[in-house]
Amino acid sequence: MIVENTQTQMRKGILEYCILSIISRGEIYASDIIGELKAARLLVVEGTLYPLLTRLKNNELLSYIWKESSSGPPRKYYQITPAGTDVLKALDDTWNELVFAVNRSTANPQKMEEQKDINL
Amino acid sequence: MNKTIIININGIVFHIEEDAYEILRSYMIDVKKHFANTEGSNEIVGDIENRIAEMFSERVTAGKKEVITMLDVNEVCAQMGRVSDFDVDMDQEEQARKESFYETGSADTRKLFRDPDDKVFGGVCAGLGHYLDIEALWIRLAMVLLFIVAGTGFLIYIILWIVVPIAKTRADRMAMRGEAPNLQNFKRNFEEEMEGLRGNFTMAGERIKPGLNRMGDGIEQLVSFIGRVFKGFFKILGVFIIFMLCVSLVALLFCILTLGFWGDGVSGFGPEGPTWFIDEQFLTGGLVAAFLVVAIPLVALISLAVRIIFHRSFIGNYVAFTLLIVWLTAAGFIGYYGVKTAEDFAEDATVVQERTLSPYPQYYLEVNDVNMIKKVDTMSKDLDSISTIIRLNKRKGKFKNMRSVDINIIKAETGMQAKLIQEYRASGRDFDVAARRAERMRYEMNQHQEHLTFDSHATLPKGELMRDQEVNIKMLLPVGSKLYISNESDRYIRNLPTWQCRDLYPESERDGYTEWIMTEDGLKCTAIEREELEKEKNKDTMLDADSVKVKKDSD
Repeated sequence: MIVENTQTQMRKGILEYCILSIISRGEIYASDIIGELKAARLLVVEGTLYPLLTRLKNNELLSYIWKESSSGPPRKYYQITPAGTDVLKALDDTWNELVFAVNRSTANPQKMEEQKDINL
Repeated sequence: MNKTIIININGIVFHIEEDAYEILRSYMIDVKKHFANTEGSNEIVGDIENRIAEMFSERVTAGKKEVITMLDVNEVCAQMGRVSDFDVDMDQEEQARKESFYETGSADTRKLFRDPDDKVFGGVCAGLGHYLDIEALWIRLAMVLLFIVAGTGFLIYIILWIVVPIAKTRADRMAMRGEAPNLQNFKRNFEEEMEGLRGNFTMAGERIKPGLNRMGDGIEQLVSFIGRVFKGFFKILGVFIIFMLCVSLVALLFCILTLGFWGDGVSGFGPEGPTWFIDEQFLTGGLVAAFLVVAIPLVALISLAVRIIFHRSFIGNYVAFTLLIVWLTAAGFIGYYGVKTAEDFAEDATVVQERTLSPYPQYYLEVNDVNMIKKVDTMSKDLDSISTIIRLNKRKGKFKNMRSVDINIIKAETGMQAKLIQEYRASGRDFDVAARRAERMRYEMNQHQEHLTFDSHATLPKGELMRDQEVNIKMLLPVGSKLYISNESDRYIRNLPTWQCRDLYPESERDGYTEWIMTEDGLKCTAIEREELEKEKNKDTMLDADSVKVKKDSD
């Protein structure tokens, strides 16, 4: 239980950071974000994404525009707001600090293996 | 073959199979529940719905198909992720709170349904069992025990059967068992069902009740045996009702055919009504219409009974509709002809015929009963059986007899001869028709010297309709002439105390004639007159005695 809890906490922070980063590259459709995340082996289901996006939008880090789609209903395309960009910059710094901290703390090769597993 | 449902997700229409729809619906319920306490839940759910719609349309286009199947829904839901997988970003506390909410929620949302999968009659007991979380067996046992108590169980059962809805959909069945309608449960339920289908159906009951011991099994068998007996009894009763309805239908058909083909001839005696009122050209049509008017509701009743007992309908909607139209037409025809017939009674006409009787000081009144078959009268060889005579008489129109004749005997005016006034009365749609109809009636009154013979009934010619025809006869006799009335004639004479007169004759003479005499005050029975005279005499003598007595007293 504690292991799972920790895993969840870790993923949770990283997920938001990754999503913001993906969106910062340009406006993008939700299912394309999924594709990116899947390629990065971060996320399995789409259902997780929508509440996250909504929360980020409500915090005014993201905004979206409606675009017509050839197949099906109109789509929401997300883009990053200036506030989002600021937050992303701050997160970049935090991430770099974290990478340093984690690398430093997990200098033991055995532990490195475990970290890799968790990220899968 | 599968039933499909048309759904609309964010303005896009999809055809989806029923099973697939149920899974999708339960998935969306799960999703909504999951985000119920989250900020912006409507938006999240909307986004998810939108995405599902998009994936569906992709599948429809890619697969070149029209219907969303179970497979599509399962794959789309898998791609979306199960609700439990959504919780990645949720605080542990929040999650715990939600889970507890789920559990209490699901435990209390049991609904009362009738269970179609585990039923003896209507699945009431099984449904109650699910609702109360008791084995259906015990409920059934209680019902049977209650049945013994003045049939209370039966009444309760019937009421519940009517009031409680049956668990039609899978969602209903899950609500009945108190399972939360989410995807996992749906899947499990579906798989269980498939398993049940694959296995023997009779095994289903045992699968649901694994904990029953041998005695329980015995009781269960007994209960199901009683159930079958009752079911059988109801079926037999139902079949009997259906049988009776069919019999009445056949009887009706026979009745109509009888009237139609053999006319009024089957029973032979007495007036056999309805066909005489009906114009010949309408007879066949009218009979067919009458048949349909009665037969179609009978067929409908049979169909209803079959439907209730065998859950099968042998009359489709189109047939039912056609039958309704036919019935309305037939009823309309009957109504139209009924009105037309009624109109034929609108006017009355009376034709009066007078004839003078050859004068005799006395007359003998006799009756020719036209309903009586006199073999002596028929000299022809082939009249050896009653039915032949009837047929022959019928051909002559003889048996179409009406109301019996009415005879009034009144005083002729001074100096006038004995006279006979015959009044023929009939109805028609106007006076002309009525008068002509009255004229066509056949009635005979013959005089052979002193003997007057009159027909008991007027008869109608062949083809004549029955339209209130009647004959009245007035016999005018001069004062002093005598009349001898035969026994048979008595009942046709309305204005005389014929029975009273006959009673005064000694028994040996009662079958003969009664003697009457015309006086200034009308026709009098000589026997009555004589008796009254004697009474008067007695009174007089008694009075005399009294007066003598009074005289004595006054002295």
